[in-house]
Amino acid sequence: MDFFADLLAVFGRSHPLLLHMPIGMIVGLGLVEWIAFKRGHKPMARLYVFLAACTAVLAVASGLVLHEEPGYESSSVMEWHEWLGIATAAFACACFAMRLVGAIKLYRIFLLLAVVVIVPAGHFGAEMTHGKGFLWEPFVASDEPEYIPPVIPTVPNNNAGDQTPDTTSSKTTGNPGKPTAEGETPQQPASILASYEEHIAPMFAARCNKCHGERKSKGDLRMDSVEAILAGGDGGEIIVFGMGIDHPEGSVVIEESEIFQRLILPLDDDDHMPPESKTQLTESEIEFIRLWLEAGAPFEEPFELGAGKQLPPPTVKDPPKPGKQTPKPEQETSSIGTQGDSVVPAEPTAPAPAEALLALEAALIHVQPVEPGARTLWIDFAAPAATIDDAQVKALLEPLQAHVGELSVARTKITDASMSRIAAMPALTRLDLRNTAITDAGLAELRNHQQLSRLVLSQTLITDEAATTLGSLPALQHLWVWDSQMTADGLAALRKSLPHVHIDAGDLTEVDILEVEPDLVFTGDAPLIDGPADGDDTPASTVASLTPINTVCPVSSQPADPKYSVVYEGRVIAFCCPNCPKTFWDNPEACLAKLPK
Amino acid sequence: METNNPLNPVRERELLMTRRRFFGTAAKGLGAGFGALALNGLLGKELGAMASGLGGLPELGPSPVDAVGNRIAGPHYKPKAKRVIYMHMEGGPSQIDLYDYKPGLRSRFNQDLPESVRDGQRLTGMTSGQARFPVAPSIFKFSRYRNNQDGLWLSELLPHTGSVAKEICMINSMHTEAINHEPGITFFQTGNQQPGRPSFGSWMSYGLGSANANLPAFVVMITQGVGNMQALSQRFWGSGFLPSEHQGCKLRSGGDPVLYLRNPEGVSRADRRRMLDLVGELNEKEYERSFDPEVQSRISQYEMAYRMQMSVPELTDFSNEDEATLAMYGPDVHKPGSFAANCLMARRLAERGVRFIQLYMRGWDQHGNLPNEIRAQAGAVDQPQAALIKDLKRRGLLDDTLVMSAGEFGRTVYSQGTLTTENYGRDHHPRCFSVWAAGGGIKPGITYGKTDDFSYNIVEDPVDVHELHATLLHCLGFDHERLGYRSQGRDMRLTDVGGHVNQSLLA
Repeated sequence: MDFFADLLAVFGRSHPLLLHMPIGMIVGLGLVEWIAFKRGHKPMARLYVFLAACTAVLAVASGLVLHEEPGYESSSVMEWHEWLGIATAAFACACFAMRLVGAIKLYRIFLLLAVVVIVPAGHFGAEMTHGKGFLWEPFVASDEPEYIPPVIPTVPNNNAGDQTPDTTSSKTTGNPGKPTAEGETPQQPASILASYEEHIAPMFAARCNKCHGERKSKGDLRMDSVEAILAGGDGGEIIVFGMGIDHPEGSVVIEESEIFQRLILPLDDDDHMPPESKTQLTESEIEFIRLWLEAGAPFEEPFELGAGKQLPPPTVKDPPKPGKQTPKPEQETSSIGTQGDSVVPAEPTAPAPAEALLALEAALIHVQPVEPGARTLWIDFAAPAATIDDAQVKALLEPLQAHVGELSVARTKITDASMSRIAAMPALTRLDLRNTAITDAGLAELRNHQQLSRLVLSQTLITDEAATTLGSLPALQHLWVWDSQMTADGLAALRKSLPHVHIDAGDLTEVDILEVEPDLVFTGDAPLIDGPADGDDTPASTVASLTPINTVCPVSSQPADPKYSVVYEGRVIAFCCPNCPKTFWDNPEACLAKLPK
Repeated sequence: METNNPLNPVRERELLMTRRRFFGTAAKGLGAGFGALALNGLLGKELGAMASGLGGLPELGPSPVDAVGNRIAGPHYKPKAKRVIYMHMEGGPSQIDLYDYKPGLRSRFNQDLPESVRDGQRLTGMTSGQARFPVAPSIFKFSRYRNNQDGLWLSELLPHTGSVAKEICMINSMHTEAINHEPGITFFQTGNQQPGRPSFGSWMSYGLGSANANLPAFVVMITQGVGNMQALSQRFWGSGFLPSEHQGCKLRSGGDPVLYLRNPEGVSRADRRRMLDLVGELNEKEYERSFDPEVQSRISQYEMAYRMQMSVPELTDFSNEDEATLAMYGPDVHKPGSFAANCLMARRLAERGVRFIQLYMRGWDQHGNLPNEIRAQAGAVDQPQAALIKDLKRRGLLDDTLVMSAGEFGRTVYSQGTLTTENYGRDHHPRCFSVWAAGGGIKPGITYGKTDDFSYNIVEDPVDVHELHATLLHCLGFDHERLGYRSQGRDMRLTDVGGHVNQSLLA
């Protein structure tokens, strides 16, 4: 059965081949008969007319079969094509019949009719395949600008000071990294931005919209507007946005997005786009689309072409010796020390070096961006805290000094020796030193830190002397000093000198009662909200006694406990446990028998 | 067994693997090895792409991975809170006897609940047959404690909680859809009354990931109450359709805190390591063959358990807590499994970076004998919960830890069973009850929402469960509409199809 079904499908698909035969034969026959009529010759042989009629019938039959295949939804063009095709076949058959019986006049009339209908039938068929207006397209003036495929610019790998690589077709729009205070050359290559409007849309217009556009929308897909692209086609969405564990929300699931997968199918695959016969996308164009999708398919915002394509330059990774090779953070902090009002960039200019992150992970130290997309990091030593000492802090945090935004070294074995390193973290906003051996001397390293706003010094060895350091922190908002060596007087003085800072010493937790309810008196004399339903003046509440009428549980026959009571028909019935009332309500009558009257 | 036979279950499973699933799962597995996988997603896009140069495949999208190698969602914006301590008061504590001050009821003792107040609303089968609904005023005296507004009313059962009134955001207008315990707790825990969805803690394990590779991201501890207790299903901390590594890990109070964690007699830690290495290799092979993400869950769980062999004993050892701290939590702190001990444990877990700490306090289901039972229940909870807040606060942990306390519903104003001036019971009441939150991102020292004079209906600012979840998720850095996971053909959320962030509750 399957074989015949397949054969039928092949027959349907031979429609584009078969249809040319009746066109040639019927139009040819018409011409020949016209000349024969003019010159008084005999009409054509019956065999030829028969063959012409047969091909017309075959073409119509195969066309009808093809119609059943998916992708050929009914449209007005298709309906016209279908009915005109059927008319052609009908006239051709009538033509043959007349020729057979020798009614030459009628034969010529039906032939003329067949020729008249086959021309528009063929035209509509062609419009279905090639798109509306295909025939006269060369006459319609094109106002579209000439399309040049974009090329991905090469990003210089080293900081040669080349911030805007010269490219022919891609516009570059600046460098998102902030310049450093000293105005030195950025160590990270400039990223190159592209946008949907400038780069992707023209590509779609030139390569896709002829078949997926206004004139034609094959597979019910149009790619000439943002809405249409998002809406997708017959096969569903062509861009699949992520949601879930594999793909974070907002990203594009490239391996499920047909907009990309179809481009990279083998050229001879039926689903490959653009079709084999059409102009293919260049590798650079495909890469463009991939980067666009990777960026989450932004239609409004620009996306990066350059960044993320290579590892950061080696200079950022591991400065051999602090202070010598001018690692940026230390320079910045030194400038803080001298000029109190210099603005420190909170966001580091380069991403954190991968090796340093791997090292943190290997040591089971938590690291996470302070917020999504940020280069500053929250680093928490909670897991291995008991084993962390100054040497480890040095080794692990040195390469990341510019990136630490929030740091917890609580419960570690670090000493004041680590504090100079921590002080050299310009982006640090929250620092947790709780339960460490940090003293005033170590804390003094933090002097004049510009960003630090939350500082936990609970359970450290700091004393009243810390006040001078704490007073030098302009951004400080919240300070914890519980269980430190600070005296009550020192604390009071600190609160006075830093009135804007919230200082928590664990001492402000005494109960503060504003009011206590007077002794409770229970009465039932408040005016009733709803009047008694039966017009009786006596409130219902005073009627019913709430003392149980029984002492033995009517379900289990165990001694009843008044706390498990229900009210039934004005009587309070007690049970032995909370489960018995459920049994009771299933069949109250049965239980009532066991109760006193 | 011939492996080509399509009836062979193994073969059948392979046949079921669709092309898309293959690509989806293959993408996760390639780039093998924990380090590369973990780093690949460690810091989102930028670093993820970088890491791919170290061994992953460049075309893989960034997929954040937490400290133990679990794939997570990652927050959407800067979180105010980094972790949660959620104290669930199982059974439905009486808001009328604890939080919702209704002095007017004192003069309505034993009056019938007005029909216009109840208005035909549904009751449970336990009291729907009652002939009368006599109003039972609380026999507990209330006091007003200074907070950041005009004061917080609390009953005499919660004197210690009064000392942290300035930290607490009291919501008196909570309401829920469920009227019984199982669906009620399920709704609070998973955002749906029907079982099967991941619990809040699992969502946070999936959303935030672990911050301490030595401990699970989601820990559950249970205190047995003194009152009437209902069943507490394991699925309340289940991970639903989320990968199973996100399910809660229950810490037991007696014996081994975590079952089956100890090495058996005669197995040394080195032996265990060698065994795990071999099992890990075999599991990797299985994963390469089947692409089943549960295999990876298993690998990571084994590794976690190995590390927990060291970290859990350290965690549960209270010997380095000073006397003053222990005293603050009250005398019960020395009793393993008490609410006091669990609160102290919660603080220790919080400072070790555990993301979601779920405490259950059982025994609030006081259908009868409420005054006596609630006295004992509140006595077990009051001092520890206040101590927890104070302890977190002075250690600099409260500003990024979200603490909340909620039951699955409240209790009725009318008495179930006998009403006397000393004794009464209360039935389930989902139409209004009180919950409170404190810490990271929550506005401290306020009271929100109002109920009517009978604490029966909400008259101002109702808060539903989805709204509470959405607001808490906001504090944790998540847009509740975007934290989702595709299951059964749609993107599932903790807030299902509801919820909005209540800005009035945010700091």
